[in-house]
Amino acid sequence: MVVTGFSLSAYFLVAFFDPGFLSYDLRQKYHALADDVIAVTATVLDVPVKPVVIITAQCVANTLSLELDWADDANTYTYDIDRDGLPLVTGISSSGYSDTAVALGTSYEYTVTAQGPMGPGFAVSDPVSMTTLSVCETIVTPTITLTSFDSRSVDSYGGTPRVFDRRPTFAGTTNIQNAIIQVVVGPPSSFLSEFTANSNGYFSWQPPLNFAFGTQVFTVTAIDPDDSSRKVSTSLQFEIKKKDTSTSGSNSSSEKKTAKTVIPSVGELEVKAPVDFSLSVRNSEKKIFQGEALNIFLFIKNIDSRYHNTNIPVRYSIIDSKGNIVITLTMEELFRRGAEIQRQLDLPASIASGKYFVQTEVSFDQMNVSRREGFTVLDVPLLNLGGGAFITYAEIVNNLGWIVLTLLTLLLFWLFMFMREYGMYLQALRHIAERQLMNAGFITKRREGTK
Amino acid sequence: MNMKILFLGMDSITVAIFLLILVFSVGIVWRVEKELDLSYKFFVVSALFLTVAEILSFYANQTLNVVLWDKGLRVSGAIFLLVSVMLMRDLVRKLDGEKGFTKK
Repeated sequence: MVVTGFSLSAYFLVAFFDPGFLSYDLRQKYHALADDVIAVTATVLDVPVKPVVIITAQCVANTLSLELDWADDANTYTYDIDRDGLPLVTGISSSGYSDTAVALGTSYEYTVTAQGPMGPGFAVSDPVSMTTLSVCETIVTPTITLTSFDSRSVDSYGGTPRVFDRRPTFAGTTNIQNAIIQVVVGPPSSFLSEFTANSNGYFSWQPPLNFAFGTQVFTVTAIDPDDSSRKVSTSLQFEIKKKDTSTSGSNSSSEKKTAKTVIPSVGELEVKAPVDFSLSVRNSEKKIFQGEALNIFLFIKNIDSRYHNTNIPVRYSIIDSKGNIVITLTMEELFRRGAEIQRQLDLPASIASGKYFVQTEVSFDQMNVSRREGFTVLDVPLLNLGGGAFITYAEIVNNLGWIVLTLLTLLLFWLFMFMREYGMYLQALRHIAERQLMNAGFITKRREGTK
Repeated sequence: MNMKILFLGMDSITVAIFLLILVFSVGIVWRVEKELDLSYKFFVVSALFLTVAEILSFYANQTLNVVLWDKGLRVSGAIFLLVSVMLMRDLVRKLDGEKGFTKK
C-alpha cells in the first residue's frame, strides 16, 4: 500500500515536470490495448434433461428412508422434488435425495423437476412410486457377559477365579430378551443346564450339586428364542479349592494336581448330554395359588441308547428367587425317546407368594443334566369381587382391625334396626289392644288412643 | 386397587341392603295376619336365601359344591319371591272384590 502510494506520487511528479513523459506513457498504453486479442467464449445451455428417477427403500441404523437417485445433468442448476403432489424439497444441487420423513409400509409418489439457469428451462420427471419397508429393525449383534461369580465381580478376581464354595453362583447378562440360556460345566463332572433369562437378559445359575475340586470351565450360551441361529457364548475358567489347602504346602500340591488335570481351552468345551429334554409348567399362565399343585411336563426329545427304556432318578426342586431350595423330591422316571412325563408337585399353603423356579435334574455318571422353568406363586384369594379382583387372606390379615371394626358396627346397626322393628311391633300391638278395649268400653278414651 | 375398593364397597352395600330388607320384612310379618302375613313370610325366606347366595358368591374358591349351593339358593329365593307376590296378588284381588270376597 505504501509502495503503491509512493509509485503514484512519483508518477504524477514526473508527469508534472515532464509532459512529454505523460504523452509517451499514454500512447504506449493505448497501443498495448489495441494490439491485444481478447477471446470471449460463451456456452449456451440447453434445456435440462428430464430426470429418470430410481427409488430404493432402505432401513439403515433403525432409520427408514426412501433413496431417490437420478443422473447428473450439466444443463441443470437445481432440482425440486414433489411428493404426492406437494413440494418436498427445492433448490438442491445434488442428483439424489434421501427422504426419511416416511412411515412404515407406506407408498409415496415422487416427481423431480430439473431447473435450468434460464427462465423457462426446466424438465419434469415421470412420477415414480415406492413403498417403504414394512419393518425397520436393525439386527443387533448378540452379546453375553458374565458379570459375577460366587457373588463377586468376575473382573475382581484378576485371573482365574479360585473359590472354596463348591456351588458358586454364576450371573450375567445378554442383550437377547428372554434368551434361552444353556450352561455347560466340566470336566471332570459335567453339568448341563437350560433355562430362560428374564426380559432384561439377566440370568443366574447355581449348580444343583457340588462341583468337583480343581479347574473347570463354565460355558454359557444365550440363544434367541425366536431365531435359534442367533446365539452367543462365553466361557469362564475357574477353580474350586479344597478348604484344607489354605496352607502353603497344600496349596502347592493343589497346584500340582491342577497342573496334571487336562483342562479344555476356554470356549472349546463340548459335552454331549446323554439326554435332551424340555421342561414346562402347564399351570395357566404359569401362575399357581398357594396350596395348589404345580403341573410339570417333561418331554424327552432324545436319549442315548444306553439309557433308553430305563428308569432314571429325577430330582425335582422348587427354588425361590434367592436360590434357596424350598421343596425337593426325587422320583424314578421311565425315560423313552419321545415320551412325555407328567408330575404334580403340591405346594404348601404356607409358601410365600413370589417368583419361583422348578428345576429338574437328571444325574448320570459324572454328568448332571438339568432344566429350569419359572412360575409365580400367588396368595390364595378369599373373596372374589368379580372382574378378576380378589381379596387375599394376606390382605384381610393386614387390615383385620378395620374389617372387624366395620363388621361390628354393621352388626350393631343391624341389631339396633331389628330391635327397633320389634319395639314398633309391640307398640302397634298395644295400640290395637287399647283401641279394641276402648271400643268395648273397658277403658276410657285417651289422647293417644283417640289419635 | 381403587377398582377393588369400588367393587368391595358396592358388594358391601348390596349385602347391607339385603339385611335391611330382611329386618323390615320381619317387622311386617310381626304386624300383619293371615294371607298378608303368609305372603311376607315367603318374602322373608326369599330375601334370606338371596342374601346367603350373595354372600356365597364372594367366596373365591368356587368349587362345584359352593356353586351348587349358590345357584340352589338363588333359584329357591326366586321361587319363594314368586309365591310371595302371587299370595299378595290374590289378597289384593280379594280386597278389590274380584275373587272370593263377594261370596261371603
